[in-house]
Parts: sequence; structure tokens; C-alpha cells
Amino acid sequence: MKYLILLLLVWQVQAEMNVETIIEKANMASFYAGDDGRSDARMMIVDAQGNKQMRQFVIWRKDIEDGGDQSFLVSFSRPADVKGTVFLVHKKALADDDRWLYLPALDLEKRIAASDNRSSFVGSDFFYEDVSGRHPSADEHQLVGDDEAHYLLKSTPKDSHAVEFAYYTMEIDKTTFLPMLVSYYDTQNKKYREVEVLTVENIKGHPTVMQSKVSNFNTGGHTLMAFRNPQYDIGLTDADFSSRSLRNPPDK
Amino acid sequence: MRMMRSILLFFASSLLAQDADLWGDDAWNEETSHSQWQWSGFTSIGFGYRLSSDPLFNKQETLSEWRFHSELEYDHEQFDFQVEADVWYDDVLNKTEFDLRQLTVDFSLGSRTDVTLGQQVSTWGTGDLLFLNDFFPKDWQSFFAGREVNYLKAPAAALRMRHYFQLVNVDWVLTPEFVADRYINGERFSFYNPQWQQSLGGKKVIRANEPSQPEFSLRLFKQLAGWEYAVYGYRGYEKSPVGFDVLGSPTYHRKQNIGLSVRGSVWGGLLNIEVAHHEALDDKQGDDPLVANGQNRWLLGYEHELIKKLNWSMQYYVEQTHDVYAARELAGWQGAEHREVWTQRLTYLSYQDKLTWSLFVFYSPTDEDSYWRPNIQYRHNDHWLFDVGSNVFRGSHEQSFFGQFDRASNAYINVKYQF
Repeated sequence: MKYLILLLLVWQVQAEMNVETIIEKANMASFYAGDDGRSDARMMIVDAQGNKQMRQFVIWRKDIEDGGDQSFLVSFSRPADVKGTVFLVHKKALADDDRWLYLPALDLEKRIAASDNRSSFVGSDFFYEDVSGRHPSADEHQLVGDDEAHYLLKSTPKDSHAVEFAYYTMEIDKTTFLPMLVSYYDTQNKKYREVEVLTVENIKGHPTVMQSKVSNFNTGGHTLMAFRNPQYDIGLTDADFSSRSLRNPPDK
Repeated sequence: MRMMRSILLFFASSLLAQDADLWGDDAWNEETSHSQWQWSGFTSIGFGYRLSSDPLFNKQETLSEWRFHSELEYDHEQFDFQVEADVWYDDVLNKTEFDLRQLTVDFSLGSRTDVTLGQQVSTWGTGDLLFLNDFFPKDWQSFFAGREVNYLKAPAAALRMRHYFQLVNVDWVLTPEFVADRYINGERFSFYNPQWQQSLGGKKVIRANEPSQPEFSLRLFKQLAGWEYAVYGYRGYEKSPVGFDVLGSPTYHRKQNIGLSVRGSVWGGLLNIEVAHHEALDDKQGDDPLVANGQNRWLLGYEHELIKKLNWSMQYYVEQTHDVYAARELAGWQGAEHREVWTQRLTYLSYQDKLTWSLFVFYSPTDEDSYWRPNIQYRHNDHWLFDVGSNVFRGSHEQSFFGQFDRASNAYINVKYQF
């Protein structure tokens, strides 16, 4: 009996270790590949009636600390009404993110309140948090099973008032540690939203998401995101993520 | 059975691939996306009408135009060239107008300096539709008429330099020849003329000679732990002809300003504080009745998301006029020493963020007047954009800041096709 309890305890500890490791590795694989990076990107936003909208932009990223603080810069080139719009995020692991939006027609450097992490990223079905990453410490994670290729996790928010979901599940690839399918459920256990990775390519040793899709089952709409020409470790500096870049994004 | 499955799989995957291959589509072919030249623009029509008629005007339309906007950009490794222009037929004024919004060359000098040379729009400061330290030209006629809010800022031919240093960033704008606001001059909307003690507009409009001297704006700014600090300076002229010359004609007097601002996040929202000290250089004692006195201006603002997709912001703004005693006793001035303004902005996004509902209200308890700006924007797709809204001025006194525009109250609609 004593041994059994000990065994259970060890197994329990091991399982928890595993969850933490998996989450950490998934976070690193999704948002911290290399020390910095950039990619061209396009989004196609499709509503329930099949109406399409497009967004084209370049996204740059630099890690200040692996798994911790990092900076993002997004510069839009299309369509005409968002052309020249630049979005800057200083993401902080232990505090609210700082965010700015530059509107070229007014030459306006607008500061954005950080509270709306789970609101739409430029009218798409992606949330700001899907682009810059959700802090792993915001949720309680549980390893609920696995299959040949995936770990299956269930995550429950520590502060349920701050988010619109009751919980979400993740299928994390066992080799790349990329979350291939994330499903969001409401309090009635109804799945209302999913983020799915469609294609992955290996870029300089980093498994890189090239295409992904967010579906919103409540609205019937979805958004496709496609990356092109992703690059890592191109030597971005903190200056590339300063207010200077709002008016003058990096050439890299 | 297995074959059936693989055929189905093939079709499913090719369907998916078609849907997902965003780089291969015709709509935005790759050639144009990588070319150094980029061209875009829009055409729009706008129509607005007074809510109650203004007897000074024959036409009660406040906006009636067909506009064509075009932008051309050339990206070179060493520099960027950009030109942006508007041509429109203005049916309110019965004329075709042209506005060069931008004609600039952007380049870097060394690793720490960015230069923008040419016709450009500039903005700084932390206020939302309240300007304490921003002396760049504004187009109040477009703003009141319900044109897109982007037109609030008017361009000026200038040299702008931004230096980025470890200690502090330095941003300055030299406008070799002063550019005034496109102020309310009676052409489209009437206003209260204190000299004549009556409303002026329609057949009588103000045309003051603009000074041809330069104006200079400076901003020192720095970011520390997420907080943005800035110090401002300006030397130039009043942006509208609020003063009078010896013959009693409206004129621009010299003006100087220093100010500062702080902005950062607090309690999950954004807080901003800004102050400015405006000095009337042509009347430092404040006893010349022809020159508008200097002012201290104070602003406190806070913005927060109330519920998901509903944003709220509030500002409290005070203007404190200098040397009020001298102005009253010696110059017979009748204004109030303090003018206070509260603003509220509510913005709500709905229908997958395609529909934006907003309301901006200025309310002044000291002037007993207000200015309401409700607006609904609908973005149908990447081409078609619609917006309807209203500009409503309310006031108990015809000479007050917003009250004088009582008869300018209007409702408008804009339809835009962009490419």
C-alpha cells in the first residue's frame, strides 16, 4: 500500500512535469523559434456568406528572453485603407503588454489599451493573442491523453472572467511540439472556435507554421493565414521595435 | 473502398489547398506585391445637410462632393518617395478642388536620423481631438462637414527630422512658410464674430493674410518602462486669425508654446496627462484688446475597455486664460477666465468588426455648450465602405465655442470605393 501511494505520487509528479515541459516546449516552438524572425503574411477573412477580405503584412519578432518578454512589429501593405498602418507590441510575461498603432493618414501614434487581448486582430477571426501568444501561466494545464502523434491537453483559465472560453484543448505534435489543433469550448461544453495548423515546413531547423486557419462556429466565418519567405536570426535589434519603426519599419 | 477514400481525400485536400493558397490568387498577384511602385486610391461621394437651416446660406447642404484620391509610392533601398492627392467636385462651393496631401522623400542620415522632406501631415500629443501641443494645421471645415476623420489633419510643406539617441529622441518640424488651419471662415459654416457681435457667413467670409514667416515645432520624447514622456515647443503664429490688426481686420499674431505629456497604462487602461503654456508674443501683458491672450492648457485622459468590443474614453480639459484682469479692465474683454471641457468617446465593434458604432461628445460646463459626433461605419469588404453620422452643436449662448455653430449642425453620409 505504501509503495502504491509512493508510486502514484511519483507518477503524478512525472505527469505534471510532463505537462509543464510540453507546454513550455509548445510555447517555445510556436512563438520563440530562433532569437528573432520575420515573415511576409496574408490573411483571407471569409464570413458565413462567403464574402472575402484580404490583409497583407510583414511581421517581425525579437525575443528579449526565451519564453519571456518579446517584441512584435506588424506593417500592413494592403488593402488601401490599412496600407502603412503599423502595429507594435512589447509583450511582457509578467505584466500587461504595451501596444501602439500608427495611422499614417493622420500621422497618429495611437496607444492601445492592453485589456483586449482576445479581440479580433484587424477584423479577422484571429485574436491578438493568437498572433503574439497567450501567457502559459494564465491557464492550468492538464495532460488528458495522447495518440501516436499528439499529446492531448486540456487548459482551464485561472481567471475565467478575463476570457470568453470555459476551457480549451490542444493537440500538440510529439516531434515538433507545435499545437496542431486548438479547440475552444464554452460553459455548455460546446466547441465554438478552433485554430488549426494546415501546413508546416522546416526553415533552418525550425518547424514553421506556413498555413493556419481559425474557424468561428458561432458566426460561421473563418480566416486563413499564410506565411511566405519566413526567416530566422536576421539580427533584429531593440531599436527595430522602438517607436521609430512605427513611421519607419525595418528594411530587413 | 480504399480507392474511393483516397479519391475523396484528394478532392478534399485540393479544395482545401485552393482555399488556402493565398499567395497564388489573382486578386493580388505576386508581381505587384513585389514591385517597388505601389499605387492605390479611392473614389467617394459624400452628402450632408443642415439639421436646421442657416439663413445666411442659400444652400443648406454642408457636404456634396465627388472625390478621387490617389496614392503612389516608390520604395528604394536608400529612400521612399510618396505622393498623395485629392481632386473633388464640391457642389456646396460650386467648384473643383485639388489638394496635394503628400509629396515627400523619406530617407535616413546615418543610423540615428530619419528625414521627411516635402508636403506632409504631422501629428503629436496625447489628446483625443483636443490639441494642446500640436500646432500642425488642422482642417476644421472637413471635420465639421463629416468628411472622413483622416481629413482633420491638413498638410504643410515642411522639413521634419527625427533623431533617435540613447538619452532622448528629438523630433522637429520646420515649416518655412506658416500654414494656417482650415478654420471655420464663414464659407461653409457661419461663426460668431465678436467684433460685430453677430454671426458671420455665407456672403461674408474671413480672408486673412497668412504670415509668410516660418514656424518651428519641437518634441523631445523618451520611453521608460512602458511610460512615454514628451516635452514640446513651438514658435510661430496663432493657427487661425483670432486677433485683429489696427484696422480691425482679422489677423494672425505671434505665438510661442512649451508643454509636456505623459502616457502609460494604469488599471488595465490608458492614462494620459498633458499640459501646455501658450504665450502671446505680441502682447505679453495681456492688455492689448486686439491680441488674444496666452493660455495654460491642462488635459487628463483615461481610456478603458468596458466590456468586450466596447471601448470608453474620457478627457477633462481646462483652458486658463492669462492676464484676465488686464484684458477685462483695459481691453474690455468679456470672456471667462476658465473654460472646461469634458469629452467622452464610446466605440463599439459588431458584426465581425465590420460595423463600428461610435459617439464622441464634447461638453463644456463653463460655456454651457456641447458638440455631439455620432457615427456608424460599415466596411462591406475591401472595396466598399460606408459611413453615416452627424455633427450636432448645442449651446445657450451664440458666442460660446460650440454654441456659435448651432446652425452648422448636420447629418451626412459617405460612400467609398477603394482600389
